[in-house]
Amino acid sequence: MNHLSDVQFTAALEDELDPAGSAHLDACGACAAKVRGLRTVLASVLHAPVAEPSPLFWEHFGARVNKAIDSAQPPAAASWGWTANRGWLAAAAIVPLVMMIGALALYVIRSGADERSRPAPRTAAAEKPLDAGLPAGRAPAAVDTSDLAGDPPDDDRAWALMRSLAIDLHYDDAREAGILPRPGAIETAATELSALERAELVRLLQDELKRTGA
Amino acid sequence: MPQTDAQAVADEELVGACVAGDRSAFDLLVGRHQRQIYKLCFRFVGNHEDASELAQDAFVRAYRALPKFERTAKFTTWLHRIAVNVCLNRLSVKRPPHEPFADVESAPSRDERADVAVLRQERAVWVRAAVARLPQKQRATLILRAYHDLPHDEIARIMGSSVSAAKANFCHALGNLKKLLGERVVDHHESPE
Repeated sequence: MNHLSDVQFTAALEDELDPAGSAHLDACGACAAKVRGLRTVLASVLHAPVAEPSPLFWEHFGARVNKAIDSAQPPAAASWGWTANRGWLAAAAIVPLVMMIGALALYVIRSGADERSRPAPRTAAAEKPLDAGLPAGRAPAAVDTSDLAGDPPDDDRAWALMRSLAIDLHYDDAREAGILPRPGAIETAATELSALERAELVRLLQDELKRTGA
Repeated sequence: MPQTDAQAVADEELVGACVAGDRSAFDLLVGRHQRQIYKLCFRFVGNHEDASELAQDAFVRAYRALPKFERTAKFTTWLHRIAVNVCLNRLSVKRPPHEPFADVESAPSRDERADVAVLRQERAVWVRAAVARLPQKQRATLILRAYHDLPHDEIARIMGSSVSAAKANFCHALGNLKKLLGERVVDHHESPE
């Protein structure tokens, strides 16, 4: 004889047992005893109410929920926000720098090409040292020029400024900020240079290779 | 939202208003369900401090998840599911202390004899302690069925199980409680109360 299943016992407790189950229950003392036992336990469970908090608790509960909503940052947004903030901070710091580097590089290339194509005597301004106007032995606060002596083109203030600003720019930071050039972009830019600009670029690259000993 | 109209608005409509930016709609939802959710949490943790904290956490999580609420679902089922998950997560981290014996029950009624009231309180404490020792799924199923009177199909949705599994869990929970309570089980139909 098959006794009632757990699902049928639950149905029996709730007076929803199917006719076949009811017939079995009428005939089976073991199942009937189990149902009686479960009913007794259920009655004990139902006689254990929860103490109601004070009315004041409910008055303040909604306010507490609102405060928690306002003060807590969503977990998903929080984690996203942190990484996003890092990315944006890096981008905010690096994008102007890269734009400046690009503009200065173009200036260097063009001015170098102009100088070679149209030689002119050096002006006083061009010969003026980077730290001119500052007290002796003191470099400008924002630009460290101590390691620039002898750098090509060491007489170019713009180039010195660009190098100083870019010296702490790491490849990983630029990659994380998503500001690396697209694949092929450099090659495309190189093809758009004039003959003189390309010659100047070659000269700058060769000088840089010599300087670093590569 | 005007107070008089608010009573007639369905939960799901309030959810829509809330998602559209009406924060007062969520206040109404909290007001409607705070008692049920608090009691649910209390059944899991057995003390007021943890229960109020968990209930608050459940509503905060619900608020954040409102945009993901599917209008085809029933809001109360969805909210209970969040609350049950919050409680089960808490229980998996730490087992909260149950309230001291003296704080558990309400004061005896005027007509109730003092010794009967003490006996009633004692039984309630034993039942709560036994419920707290049940496996988590059985415990959740018992609480939702016995104390919140939810139908088995809704419990199944909350627990992410089949209806048959929910019914079987309820039976197992009562069977285990019978073993845990032993002689302390009293047939209330025959008790002098």
